[in-house]
Amino acid sequence: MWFARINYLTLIILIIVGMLFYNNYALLFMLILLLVLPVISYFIARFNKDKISVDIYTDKTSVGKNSSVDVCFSVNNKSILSMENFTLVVKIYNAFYRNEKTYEIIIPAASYSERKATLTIENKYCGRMVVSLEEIRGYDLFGMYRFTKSLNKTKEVMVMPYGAMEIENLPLSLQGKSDDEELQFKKGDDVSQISQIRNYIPGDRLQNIHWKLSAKAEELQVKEFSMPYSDDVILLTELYLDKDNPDIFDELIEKLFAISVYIIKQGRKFYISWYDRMSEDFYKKEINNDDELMEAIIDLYYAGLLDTDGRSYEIYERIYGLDKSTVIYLSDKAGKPKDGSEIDINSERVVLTCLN
Amino acid sequence: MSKLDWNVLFKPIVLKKNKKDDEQIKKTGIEIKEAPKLDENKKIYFILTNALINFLVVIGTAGSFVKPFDIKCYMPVIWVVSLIIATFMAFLYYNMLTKTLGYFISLVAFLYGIFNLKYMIKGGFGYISNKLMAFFEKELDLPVERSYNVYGYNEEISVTVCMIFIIFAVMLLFNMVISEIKGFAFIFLATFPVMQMGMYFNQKADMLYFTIYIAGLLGLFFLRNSRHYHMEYKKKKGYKQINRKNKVVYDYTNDGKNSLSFVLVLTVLIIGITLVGGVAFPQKEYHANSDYDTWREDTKDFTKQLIMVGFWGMISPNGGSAGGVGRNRLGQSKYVRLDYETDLILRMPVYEDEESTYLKSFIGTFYRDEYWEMISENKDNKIKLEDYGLTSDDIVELQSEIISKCNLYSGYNAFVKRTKDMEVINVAASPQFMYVPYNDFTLNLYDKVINDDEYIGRHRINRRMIIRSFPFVNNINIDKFRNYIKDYMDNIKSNISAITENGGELSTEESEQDNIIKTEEKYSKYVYDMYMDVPDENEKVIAEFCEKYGLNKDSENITERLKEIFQTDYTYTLMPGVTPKDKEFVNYFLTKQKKGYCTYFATSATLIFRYLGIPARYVGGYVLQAADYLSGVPVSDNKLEDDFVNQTGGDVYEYEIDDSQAHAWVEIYIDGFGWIPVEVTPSLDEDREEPKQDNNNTIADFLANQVFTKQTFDAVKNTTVSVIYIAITGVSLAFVIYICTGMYVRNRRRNNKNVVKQYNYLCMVTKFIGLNKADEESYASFGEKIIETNISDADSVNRINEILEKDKFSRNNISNEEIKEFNDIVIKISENVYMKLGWYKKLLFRYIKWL
Repeated sequence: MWFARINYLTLIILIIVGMLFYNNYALLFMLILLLVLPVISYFIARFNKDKISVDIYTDKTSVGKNSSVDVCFSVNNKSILSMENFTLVVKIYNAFYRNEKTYEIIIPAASYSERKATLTIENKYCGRMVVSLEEIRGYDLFGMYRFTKSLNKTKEVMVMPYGAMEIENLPLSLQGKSDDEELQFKKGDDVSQISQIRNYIPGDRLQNIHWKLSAKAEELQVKEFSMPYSDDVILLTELYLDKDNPDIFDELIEKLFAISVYIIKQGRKFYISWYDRMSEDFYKKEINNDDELMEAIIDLYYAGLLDTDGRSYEIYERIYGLDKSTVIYLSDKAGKPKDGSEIDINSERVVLTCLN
Repeated sequence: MSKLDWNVLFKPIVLKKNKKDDEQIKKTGIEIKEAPKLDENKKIYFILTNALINFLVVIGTAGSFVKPFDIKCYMPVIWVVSLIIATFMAFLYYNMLTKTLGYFISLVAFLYGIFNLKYMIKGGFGYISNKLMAFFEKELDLPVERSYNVYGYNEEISVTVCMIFIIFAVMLLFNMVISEIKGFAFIFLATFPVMQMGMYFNQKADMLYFTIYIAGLLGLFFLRNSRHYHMEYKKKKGYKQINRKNKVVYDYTNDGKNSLSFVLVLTVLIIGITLVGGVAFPQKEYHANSDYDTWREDTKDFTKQLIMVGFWGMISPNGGSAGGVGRNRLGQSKYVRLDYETDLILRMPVYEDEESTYLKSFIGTFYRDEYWEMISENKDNKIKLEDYGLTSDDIVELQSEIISKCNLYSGYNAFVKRTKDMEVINVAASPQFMYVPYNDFTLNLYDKVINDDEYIGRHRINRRMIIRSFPFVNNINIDKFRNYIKDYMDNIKSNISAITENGGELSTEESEQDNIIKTEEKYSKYVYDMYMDVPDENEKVIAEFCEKYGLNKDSENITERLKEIFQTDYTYTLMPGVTPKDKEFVNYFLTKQKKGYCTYFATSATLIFRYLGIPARYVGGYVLQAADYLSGVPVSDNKLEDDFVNQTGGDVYEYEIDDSQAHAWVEIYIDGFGWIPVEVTPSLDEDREEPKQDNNNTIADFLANQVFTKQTFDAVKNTTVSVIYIAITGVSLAFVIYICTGMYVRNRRRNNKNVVKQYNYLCMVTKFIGLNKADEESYASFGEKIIETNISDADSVNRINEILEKDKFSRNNISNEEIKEFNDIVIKISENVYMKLGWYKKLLFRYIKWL
């Protein structure tokens, strides 16, 4: 832009010199022309800038790791004015790993035409790939004025784990059923012990109604019995990213996926859980099938990562305790807890520890 | 010195760059596999943009030049033809085929113009030049003597044809510059000098053409500034990737459509503003402020010089583009080229008894390396005037003072009778020199005299000099003159001696004579020391020459004898040929060559005279022969006659001196007097035929000398026609050989007995429809692909696979029938593939790849 301005100014100076030398109407006219042209150009550009629209398209919403995804930027210029150096300022990053780099794509936006620029991107790591169109810049006819517009349009593509890692012989209890009997198991069946009394919720079993207390309270009260030892499995995942070794975190997700697939194949219901730094709470999702696993993975992609390693299980233990479920903790080697027994998952960098 | 290991040198740099990228990918997980792909850029828009710019700039320049000077031509025709030419030229860059064909057509068109429309084009050029010259004559007060032949053609037609021819050549050049690099500076520098001529001379600008010119130029300017001016469709990538610290820029370079729309919008804008502006502020209401004209007026002198001597004349130290006096190394020209253009105008009164008028300019003192040097140019010279008690003031008009003070001209003496004024105007001769007759004594004629052979006065172009001199009369015979002077001066000396010895007082006149004689004696000693140098390499040959012809220091009438020798045994010619590199110029001339023009004779004679003890020096200038005195134009200008205050009768004539009168001669020193010219060049023998010009290198001579004589043109035409015939024959022969070879190759391929090679041939054929067999791919798998494309049925394909596998893996040989069957199937497939191809690929298939 400055280069164009300097060149233009040089041209004007030369014309002035020429005018002084030739003392001629034509050169005077040319000087007026050169003074008027940028003004006209400016107003034309201002008038036309809103007629340029930009969009992002992707050919896939989710893709496997190391598979390519095409991201297409479309510039539609509905104005009479062509813009030579129309610039798209784009950020492309994986939500986990970020990327400081900005990409600028300079496209000529010819008048009354749509131009598309397609980037083919491959993701080395699982996660949520975000393509963000931050701003667009356009210039007038002579490249002397610049117009900037912030857009912040984004498109996301989920990069799913490769799924190539297979886990075998994971030493978990094979008991545990799902569906109708689950509720009973969940509530405990040791009637000798009442753990608590609470108000009646429609659907509670009539046998559990504490009639005496209900009469007293003049509303139905239900007995809850103590939680017996259960075969529920909670796969607790440590969301800590070592920026110097980002591939470890990627391997962790791969292992999470692999373990989950294994458990699903065993016909077990289980839970995936992690501590989300953003919400400061544990996320817990029940997984019964592949679809629910995928949903959980996608939810994981929106999670906030932790600043320190190996803290999730401590927090979990403090809040929920470790005696109600089988908690297996997935973390990197540095975050491995002191207590608990390690389960071999064929990895040197990611460990699975049974906490109870 | 050990050989540089480039891998060692450059590998770390390459590795470093890749490592950075790898680190980035490892850190972020994001890898851009392919940079932005855009829709295909259509070439046609680029081409139309270039054509439009070329057209606007050239037609704008042409119109801006033609209109102010009111040069008559058919502009609408020029418009249409220019548009066609611009488009044609732009399409040269469409692809290689159009480029090759286009340049060929351009060459043919150009040659057609040269040979068939030569005189019309020259006529048109003549009309334009004459119009301009008439304008310059009036505007700049220039004595323009040149006029160009118009060959009798109608002005409008010939000017139009000439303009079209010039526009054709210019657009061809501009197209290259515009298409490749949008070279704004080049286009501006090439067109602006022509475009601005009308403005420079205060002519009314034609706003239409000016606007068009500006539109084209500004379009070029802004496209160049956009940094997107290369023909990007030629490049593979179509973009430029710039890696910065935290940024990657994919700079997709220009869209042809963009450029075209930009130039169109700009043109419309400029024309629109011009129309509106022209109504709001018409040109007729503009009154130039004459105060601003001073700057331009100061350049008018420069412009005058430029018009007279041309660009090269301005920058050449010898000023030598025009005029006959030059200072080149001797013996390097095959022949002398004369242009017969006026170099000087001479006006003077003419008398019957007068000798030829020599206007001397250059004096050569030292002969070194076939080159005449002035004293100041010879760094080894130790002889100085001061050593002889002389200054340059003493010798500047010594000769004239001797004549006047010793009364050598009064009383109608033998060889100098009168004073005479002449007017010399430098029209186009070298402004480095003065052009002055002998025995001049004009007051303050020279600005400076360096030594005694370099007179600085600078006879600038168009400068008129009135020079007073004592012309020689009565056909000087050197020996007689020498004797006459000796006797005359001895007489004066003895008179003075007699008076002084008797203790008498000398009169003023006698005293002056005494002083002048003493000065001359000192100068004479200086001359005898300075002007006797003969280079060692020439001495032997000159000695042999003198011995052969019986010349020695005591010989009488040396000058006459030498002239006679040259007249008899040597030939005057303007085409002596180049002196061989291993021969010395004078030696070669005197012994072997024996032919040449004035320079040859004057140089040799100077050295011979010196060898024989006569101080001599080489002089160049112009000579108006006495025999041509009456061929001048009588002048009856009263003012001129008033200028010649010492007029003593004689009519004033005006002479146009051209380079045919440029001459070289010898000056010898006459003791007691000074330098007098000696003519040694023999006259051209009319009975002898001029040797025929060698027709070899005619084209080179033509291009070098640019002489448009009919003889040269016919020679060039014949030679060029021959070249064209040979070229066509050569190309035809090459084409025939190519076709025959190709057919042979195709035949061999199709009938190959080796089935493996035949299968390879099949693979080459299938590539044309996009079927590429990978190395690891099995025959069966590839065969399935062939079947899928419907160029062959399954049975045939399976059969050839079977035969091939049998050939490759079986212990049994395949039979001739199987080979034939194999070949037939492959040929059938080949023909099916051929049928599926477009015309261009068919051409490639059949006649380039020979499949």
